[in-house]
Amino acid sequence: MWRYLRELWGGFWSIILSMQITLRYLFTRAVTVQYPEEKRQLPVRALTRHVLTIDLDSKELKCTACDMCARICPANCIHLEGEGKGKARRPKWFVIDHNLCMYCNLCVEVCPFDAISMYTGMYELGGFSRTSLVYDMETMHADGFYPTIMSPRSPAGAGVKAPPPAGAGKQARKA
Amino acid sequence: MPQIREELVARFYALFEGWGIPWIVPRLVVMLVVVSIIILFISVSAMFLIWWERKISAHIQARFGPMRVGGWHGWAQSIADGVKLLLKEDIIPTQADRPVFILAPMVVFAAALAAYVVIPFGPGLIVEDLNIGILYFIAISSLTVLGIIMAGWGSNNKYAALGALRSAAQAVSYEVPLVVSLIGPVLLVGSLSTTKIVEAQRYLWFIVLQPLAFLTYFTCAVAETNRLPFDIPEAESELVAGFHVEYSGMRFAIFFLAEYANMFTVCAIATTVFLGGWRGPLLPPWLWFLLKTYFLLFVMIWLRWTLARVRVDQLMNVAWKILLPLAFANLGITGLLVWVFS
Amino acid sequence: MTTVNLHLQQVKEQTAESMEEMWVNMGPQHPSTHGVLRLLIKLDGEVVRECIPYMGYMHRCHEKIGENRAYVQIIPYTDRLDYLASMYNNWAYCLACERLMGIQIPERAEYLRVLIGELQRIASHLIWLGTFGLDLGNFTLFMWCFREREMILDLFEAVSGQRLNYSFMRIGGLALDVPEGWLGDVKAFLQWFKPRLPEYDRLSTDNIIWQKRIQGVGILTPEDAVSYACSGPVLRGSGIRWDLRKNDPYGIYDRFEFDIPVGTSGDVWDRFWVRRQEMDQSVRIVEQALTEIPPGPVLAPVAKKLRAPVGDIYSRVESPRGELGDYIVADGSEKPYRYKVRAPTFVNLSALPVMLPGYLVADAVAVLGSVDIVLCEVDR
Repeated sequence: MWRYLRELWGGFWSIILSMQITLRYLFTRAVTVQYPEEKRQLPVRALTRHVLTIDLDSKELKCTACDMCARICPANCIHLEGEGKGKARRPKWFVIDHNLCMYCNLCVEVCPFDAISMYTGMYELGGFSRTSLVYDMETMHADGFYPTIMSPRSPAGAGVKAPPPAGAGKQARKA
Repeated sequence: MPQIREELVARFYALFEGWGIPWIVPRLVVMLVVVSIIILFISVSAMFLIWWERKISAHIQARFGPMRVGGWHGWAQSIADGVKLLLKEDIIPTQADRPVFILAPMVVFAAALAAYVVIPFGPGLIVEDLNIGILYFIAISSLTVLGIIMAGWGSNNKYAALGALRSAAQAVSYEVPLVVSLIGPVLLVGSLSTTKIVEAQRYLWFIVLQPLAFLTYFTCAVAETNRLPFDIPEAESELVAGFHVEYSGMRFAIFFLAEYANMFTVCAIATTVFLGGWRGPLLPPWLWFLLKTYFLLFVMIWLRWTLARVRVDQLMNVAWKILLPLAFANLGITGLLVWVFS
Repeated sequence: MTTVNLHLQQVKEQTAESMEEMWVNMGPQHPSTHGVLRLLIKLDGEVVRECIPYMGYMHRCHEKIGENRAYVQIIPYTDRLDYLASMYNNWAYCLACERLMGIQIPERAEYLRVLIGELQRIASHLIWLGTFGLDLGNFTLFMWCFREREMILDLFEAVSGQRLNYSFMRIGGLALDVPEGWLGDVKAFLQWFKPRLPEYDRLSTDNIIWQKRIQGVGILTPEDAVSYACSGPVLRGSGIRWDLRKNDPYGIYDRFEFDIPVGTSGDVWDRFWVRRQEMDQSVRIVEQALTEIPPGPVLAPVAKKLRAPVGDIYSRVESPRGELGDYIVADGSEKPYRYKVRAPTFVNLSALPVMLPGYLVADAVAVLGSVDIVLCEVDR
């Protein structure tokens, strides 16, 4: 009999305690952001759509069509063809199929010329057809977007701008 | 207030009599007007409740809830949902028992609607002050079980039938402690009429005198309306689907509306019997009534978003082995004290 | 598949006389099977008599793909196995390759691997706790767990660029060093996270409805657990103290002080409690790692074109779900000859037919949730 009553009281009190914490949360600020009016700040290393970088002085693509990125890509989504020889070698056409790309960053890591980059912050890539996700050289040209892309390995952008501290995330999440 | 109403109604009847129209017509007209007002109130109240529930659940979960439809915090979200449900295709399963299938949501809604007759929104603001008010409420709210079983049977779906039977078992089991816990305050008042119960709480609300009855009643109320933690009939993640699985569009909307109407009813009766009804200083009585009822509805919503679901056998356990003894204990003590002090 | 159908036929013929029993499908599309899993359950009224899990709906030929990719190209594929604990998949694979090729990784990389691994364990257990609460009907716990997990994902996005499939570890260490200020952010996250665990307890561990729901249900005896080769919290919940971080240490786990929570009776409550305590222990390990990280490189100098010497190796790590093992057979070329993954949830799931019978069908969801399955890992 006593056990029954004690269990009853314990159960009732545990429910009251649960409700107390829920009530406290009712009056705290929400942590979600109202997309698209507010957007999250992406960290530097966020992997987004590819871009072919250009040389600041000559304004030409750094890519020499060496085929390293196409060979390392596990999903076989990079296709390109080059023309010319030696220092004058440039890609004739260059296509990346984002239907297949797994955002593994191996192509960026393996490129000996820093000619391709994924740190562009372009993640709103939705389209209405599969072909709209296949990007060619003209779309991926860095000109007009970024003259040079920060790379975590380059001196200019060695891992700057860590994300806002976790506790203050609610305020710092505003765009 | 009651006098004004009586006089208006009498004048209305006399008008029709003067024109030579049979006595039944003006009475029917008045009844239709009253029912329409109640249905309007239920619709608006349910829409507000749905929006409010979404907002409360969202803020408990550290997110926002509806924010866009209608501008300020998505107040028109319920209206948009209602319009969407109206525009859906009306699907009836081929082998379903058509009359039963179509009538089931109407029975459930009718039972929920009929219980509004005895709710006192204010002094004189009651559809009909029956002198068997509480008994009438209990009897009518049992009719929802009939509608649920009809829905399960008419769907021609063995899982819906099983779910309906489970839901019926739950509703019937929780009726008993509900009734017994209500007898306590009735003993104190000496009358079943809801208006008299409110008037008897002039000096002290019954929740002070009958806290155990209030807790038992509230738990049974949550179970009667199929809300978490007792929402086995509606849980979509359990193996057996609920009784309204074959309903879509407007028929489902009627079930939904009936559920929220039922919620309002049980909280209104709780306010009447335990929280002093429309009594309170300063503000108009109907406002006090609504505030108290909505506070209890807030507690119901709060409970839903805090607790996990109770398993179906544990549900029966709670009804018969925990709530019923507590309700009887309360009744025994109340009876004893009333006899001693009278 | 045909042998299973034959067995099913025989079983159905045997039970044809009994009118009470029926076979029910907890089908591939179900809100609570955590992916595409089909459970065939034989019910006697409300009690489960038999349970046959059908797996394979998510099979994507992971191991066959591995035979046609160079060693470094397999790393992004390993992420997609147990996508809720990607860092551990990477670690298991990189560890196997490093042991095969005899590569020693730098100190800083070892410490960072432990730190990131334990943060990943916290994130994985948070998802498990949230979805377990969701199965039991508690939506609020789900949202709160995901809020904390978002913070860990933000930390991982800052360090690797991806929120879910990181492919951050490389054979020889890590792909990149952590950004400046990241370690401070981890510390800030821990300070936010530690008071949250008692809050979850209020809604789960200390709540009477939760306790009644999962105590005494889905019992897996220690003998069954060992004979079915279960691992991870499923094994520890049954009372067997076996954790690869202590019993077969890899990396530098022997330098850290932490406890192994062990259950007593092997029911759902014990498995839940073990995982809940593991979150506490992971926080302890992360705090120790934060103070001890040495500076230095994070990637050992390895050849661009990695070739493995002829031979084979089986190496295992303690992922949040159990013993995650990689078996690689190398033939001297730059692609493995055979690559096999021992998925912990595949083995744990095969113990479900002994955990379910005898309990109510309403408990099936809770028991399945306590095994913590990820179908992509089960089916590879």
